[in-house]
Amino acid sequence: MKKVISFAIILLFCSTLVVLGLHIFGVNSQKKSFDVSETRQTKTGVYAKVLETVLGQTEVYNYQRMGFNKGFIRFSPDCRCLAVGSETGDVLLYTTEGQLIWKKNMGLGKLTALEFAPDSQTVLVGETSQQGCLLSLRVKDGSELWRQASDHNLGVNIKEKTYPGFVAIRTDAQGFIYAVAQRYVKQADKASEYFSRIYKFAPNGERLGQFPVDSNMDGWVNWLDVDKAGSKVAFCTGNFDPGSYQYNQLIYCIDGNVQQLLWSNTAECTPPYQTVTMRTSPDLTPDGKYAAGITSDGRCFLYAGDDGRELWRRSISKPQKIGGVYLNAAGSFAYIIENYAVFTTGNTFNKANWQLPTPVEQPNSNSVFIFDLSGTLVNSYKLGGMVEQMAVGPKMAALAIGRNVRAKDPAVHGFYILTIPEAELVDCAQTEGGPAVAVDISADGRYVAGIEAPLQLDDGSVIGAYKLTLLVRR
Amino acid sequence: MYNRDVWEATPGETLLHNTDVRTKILILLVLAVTILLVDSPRSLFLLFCLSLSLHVAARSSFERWQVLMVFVLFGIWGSMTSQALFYAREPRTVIACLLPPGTPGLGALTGGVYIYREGLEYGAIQALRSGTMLALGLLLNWTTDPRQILRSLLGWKLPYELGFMLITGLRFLPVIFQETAVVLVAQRLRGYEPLRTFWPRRLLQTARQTLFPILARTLRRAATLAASVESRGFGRGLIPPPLPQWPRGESWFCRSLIIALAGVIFLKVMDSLQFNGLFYLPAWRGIYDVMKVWL
Repeated sequence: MKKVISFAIILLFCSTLVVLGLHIFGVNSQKKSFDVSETRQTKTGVYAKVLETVLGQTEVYNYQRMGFNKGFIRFSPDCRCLAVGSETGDVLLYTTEGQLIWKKNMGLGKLTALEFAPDSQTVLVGETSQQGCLLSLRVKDGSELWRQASDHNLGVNIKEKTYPGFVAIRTDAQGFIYAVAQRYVKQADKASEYFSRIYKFAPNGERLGQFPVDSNMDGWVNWLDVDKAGSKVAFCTGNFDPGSYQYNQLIYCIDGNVQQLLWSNTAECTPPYQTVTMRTSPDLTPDGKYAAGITSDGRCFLYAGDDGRELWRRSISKPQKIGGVYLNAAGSFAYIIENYAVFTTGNTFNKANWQLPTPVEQPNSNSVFIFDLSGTLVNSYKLGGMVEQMAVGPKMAALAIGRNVRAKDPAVHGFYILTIPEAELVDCAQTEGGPAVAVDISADGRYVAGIEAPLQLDDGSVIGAYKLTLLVRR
Repeated sequence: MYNRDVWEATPGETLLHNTDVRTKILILLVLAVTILLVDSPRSLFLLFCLSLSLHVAARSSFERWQVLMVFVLFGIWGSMTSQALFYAREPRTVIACLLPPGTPGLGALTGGVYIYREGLEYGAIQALRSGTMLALGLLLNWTTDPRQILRSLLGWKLPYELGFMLITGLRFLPVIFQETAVVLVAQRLRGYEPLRTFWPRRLLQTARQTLFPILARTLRRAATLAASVESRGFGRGLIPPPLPQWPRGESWFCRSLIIALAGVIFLKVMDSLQFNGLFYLPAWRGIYDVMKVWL
């Protein structure tokens, strides 16, 4: 009996230590690799899972929370690598076969943007921190090639923890880097103050230009796009508080040297909203001829790239007063895929109180709309949940579908692949219940990768995990 | 566990046995301060493993390892269980519901009983701290003659009374376990089975019937000890014997340890200033990044 007790003590002690060590050092015991020829874990079987791996532990949010866990995914332009930026501050580089090449922690910085250089040799990482840096990491080993800070332009208040950060990064065909840096300050009287700037960097990190040259923009800039030749850079500004601002237009286009304003355009507010904002658009065509954008109030626009003329606008989710409150589905993403403009909408939104569940769902909520360039609606596709992220492939779009805050159905969470312009479902890989928060599709359409986040249901139970899923086309 | 030899220092020929007692006390103190300063689970886990590896180096007997493992396991699982249930900070993530809030009576009274992920992690971190201190304390106790400890402490100008109390405490520890063994054997010989059932009433009765005799015997011993030391003129006009020469290598090792500890304290202060938004050095970004992971 004594021997049994001794053996049990040793076994319990060793297993406790091993479990603690594995948990603390993040050794991934939840990595699953799949045999592509055997598994059929997607809806149609066109794509097959290659890898599922937990990226770490994150805070678990519920349906009542407006913001959610984030993730960043980018396939390299040569379709050989996959860069992943996690909420836990890690940048991971995988091969498209699912092998981890390296992992690097960003330390104090919170990851806010991720992009590959067009030669697939470097990964560009944007972070929000005391210095708000843009970093270039070598794909081969993750070593840092250079970093550029934004705090000297945007300022920083370490006491109030209002830090600057690079929030969007794009590159042109020559490898020049265009990035938006911004800082946001919430004053004691709840008024918001914004500082934003557009930067252009050479591939070696040299700063080539900034817009505006002498001062910061007083608007919220979260997104930008550049044409392939690097001759036009389009971005949108927004302000969530009504007031008078210098950068009060909706959309701006500047030259490739980020010095001169080429054109700007605006749109009137839609009641009950007092401001108009494009959060995750605009998108420029590779030749720079068109720019597409969608506003939060549910209007989508197509502009001429040369002079900023509004070619057309469509309202896909006009705010409607129902039961005394205005409801609409927030516009989220806009992309131009070949000759079609693709727009997405999110959850039904109650302007009066976003935390209250809406009595009905807006019919156009959580959907994809495809227009041709003349403004004719070609197709649409109703998804069950919020389009958390969208990525563009060859005549395809990959979508990360997250929470539906009204229906609260976890079965809709997953990675969806649609054909454009047919809006036909190519495949859908459901998550383990957690909402999908990030997705990307490789340039050849062969690979799709996405990140799922855990979700706390109303009964307190938690479903899903913060993990990466990699799919390959059979 | 009830064997007195398990608790008392035994001579040995390992590096740790031959190390000067002052070196061992200083290592213990430096590590004690370090584990209080460090919040990183990685560093704490490595320090805990270091303390265990020192036991391997000291060739601790199997019985001693058993004692160490039992205490550490009680610490880890006790701390994790209590924190998992009562963790009150935010954010906290429910990983299991033990008692749904809708349960009549207790459910409504408690608002539900849950296991929180962050509580488990926090409990494990605290347990690693206490486990490291326990392992190091036992190592010092098992490899060092208490008289040497007392001499060293007196040599460092520790008041005689305090030093005496410390050493008496160390010496009493094995005595208490031995007394416990005697009481349990005596009760068994009378046909008493203390752990036959786990009813609360029965357990309380067991505790009373076990603890009172132990307490009585311990007090009796303490009274005898007090009378004995008083009769020998406790602490009056005592001139502590001179300490032997501190080996030069060990002395330098201890100094470098103290310098390293001062460095850790300085880094921790810098990290706290940064974290609380009071002072940030941009040129130190790389160091801050390392500190976030390891401190």
